[in-house]
Amino acid sequence: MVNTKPRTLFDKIWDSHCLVAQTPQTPALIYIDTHFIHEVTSPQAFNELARRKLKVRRPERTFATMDHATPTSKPGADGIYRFNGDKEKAQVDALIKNCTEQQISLFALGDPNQGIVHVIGPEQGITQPGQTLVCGDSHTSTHGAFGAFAFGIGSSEVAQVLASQCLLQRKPGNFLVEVTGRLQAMASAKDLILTLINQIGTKGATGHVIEFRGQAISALNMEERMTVCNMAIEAGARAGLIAPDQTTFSYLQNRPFSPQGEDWQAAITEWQSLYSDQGATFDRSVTLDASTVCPMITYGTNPEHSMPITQLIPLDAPKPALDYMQFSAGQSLLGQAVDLVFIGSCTNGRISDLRQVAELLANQRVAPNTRMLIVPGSMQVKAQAEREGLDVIFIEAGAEWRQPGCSMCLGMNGDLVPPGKLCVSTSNRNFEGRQGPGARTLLASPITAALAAIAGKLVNPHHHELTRPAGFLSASKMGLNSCKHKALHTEVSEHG
Amino acid sequence: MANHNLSKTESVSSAFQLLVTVVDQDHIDTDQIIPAEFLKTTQKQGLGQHLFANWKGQTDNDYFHQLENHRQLVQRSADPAVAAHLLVVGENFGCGSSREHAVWALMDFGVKVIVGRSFADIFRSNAQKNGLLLVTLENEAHQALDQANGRVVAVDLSRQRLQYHEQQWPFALEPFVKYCFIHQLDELDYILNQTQAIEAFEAKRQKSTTHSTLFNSSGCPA
Repeated sequence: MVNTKPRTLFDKIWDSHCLVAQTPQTPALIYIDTHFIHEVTSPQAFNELARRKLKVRRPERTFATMDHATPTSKPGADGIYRFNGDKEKAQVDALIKNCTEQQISLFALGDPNQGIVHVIGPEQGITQPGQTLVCGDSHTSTHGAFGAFAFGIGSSEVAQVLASQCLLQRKPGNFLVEVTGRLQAMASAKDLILTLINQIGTKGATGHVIEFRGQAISALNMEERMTVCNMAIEAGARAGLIAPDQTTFSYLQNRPFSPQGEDWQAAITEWQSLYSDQGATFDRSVTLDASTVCPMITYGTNPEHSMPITQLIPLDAPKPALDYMQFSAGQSLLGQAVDLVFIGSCTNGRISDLRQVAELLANQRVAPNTRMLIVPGSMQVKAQAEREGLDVIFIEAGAEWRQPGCSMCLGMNGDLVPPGKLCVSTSNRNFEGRQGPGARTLLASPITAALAAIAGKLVNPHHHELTRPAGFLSASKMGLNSCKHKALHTEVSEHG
Repeated sequence: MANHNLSKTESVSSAFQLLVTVVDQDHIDTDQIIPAEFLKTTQKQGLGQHLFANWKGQTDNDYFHQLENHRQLVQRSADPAVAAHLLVVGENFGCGSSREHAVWALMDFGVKVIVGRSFADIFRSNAQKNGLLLVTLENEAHQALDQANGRVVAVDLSRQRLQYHEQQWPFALEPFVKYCFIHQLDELDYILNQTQAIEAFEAKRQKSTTHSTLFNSSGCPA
């Protein structure tokens, strides 16, 4: 079948993976290239397969890790990991048993490649452009940074993929997010995606796959792209993706699971065809100017409740959210004392995030009223950070340097924010009680979070005084007032 | 039904009478529906008791108590026709995590139908896999149901309408969702009935030069 109509990147991936086309009465059947599993959403799926006496169809395309309920404390001298409770351990034991029985590769605790699923997949080169990729976890959208159609699924669908390597899907729409300009100093990829979510809302992209493109997107490195795609789900998107380019290929080269030798050249040639055609139509589109993105902070109880950190909480902010957070409309958050700072998660737990934090923490101390947890996204990230001496900086500053895992993002492993306490977090959700019953979460970038840890309160990153020059945070790149206060919900930059 | 792959199984009753609880909030996320501490189970059962657990301690949150009252009402009810619940919610219900536990908790509690202004994608998909019916209503229709707290509403799936007081409210339903519900279609069976197509697809892949789907020859870390 010859396709002459211009297609988006997503259309191309969909078409090449569609075994049975969609009809008005029935969904399409699509093939899944890569399936990641973890200990929380897989037990029921494996139980289902056992009940039906089914085997995993493609164990070699299935990759497992343990991350959600795993301890971030070091194992004891006996090498034994201390779980928060019996149930956490039971989930992990179930995963080990299931992977052994079905011959699925498992990155277990103690494995030098273990870590948060959405950190290790790309790190290992398992995530590749043009794939369909799923996991029983909503932040699977992260892998879209590589130009894959990557999305989260529930346990029933996990069972379906295990048994058939396929899923039933109705095709989502195409949503274009064009990002012009360039991120200014002190503004991060995290601030960019928070700005977008604020603009289109937490259901802004429901039923659609977002493609991010434009000058500002091309300028992002892979870890920054992952931060952006990670939170596409928070805008309601089915998935988010970025067309692969040289940045993508350079990242993937020579990773453990990347194609090698001749296969590598052939892969590049194929991956270079993964872009939206000229004239391809999108169902919706939004344009954002990265140059106007400011360091952001959330003030409420879902990711769209955000603002530039220098602004006042909007007067029309929902009252229940403010009541929960113990904030008021019209209030400034600058100077707000902070109880905890959490650096980590699949959003911002990678080496470039840790380097930013280290650059700020060097020769500084975490404020006495603040507890700072730094949780690397994987054992590889941890090892790299230690090779660079970042751990020494963190520890000397008074932060806690932990083992990898989801940790305080959702507190399943016992790393909880105590009731009523305020935590600045580089994670992705500030829902009520997310980080612990009664916990109050402020989402922010690693830069904003690290500066808050040092000051013991929220500060304006633009007013940060550096103790040493050099690095991307150097004073020469900092423009005062590069962040104009913007009204919410404007779609187009007002730059003349 | 045009597609020959849809096997007919025994139809179930598609008309229900349900006790309504109005939880008229927007963006009720999956952390509210079932907090993470309850995801430590390896089973699907027993989550109903933890539905909206975080709301229990909130003094200004009336919804939890409403739900608990209604749960007891249905349990003790002499009327066998009203054996389950219908929730009326705002927009973007079920946003957040992909945890299917949210659906299991709702169904274990006894919720059979949720009427909302809109639903999040992954939640919608999970609901369908379990036979939890999601009905999208807006404007006048939603407003009417908003007034129905504590009342009984009749839901007729085949006719795609809700009846409250003397009024009938039609709702849209995706044909496949409707078919699955009425015929109790097992989706995994439906997929596995297409194994030939899956095998053909894989065979074609093996022969092509689609390198991006192949890992390096050993399939292991280099």
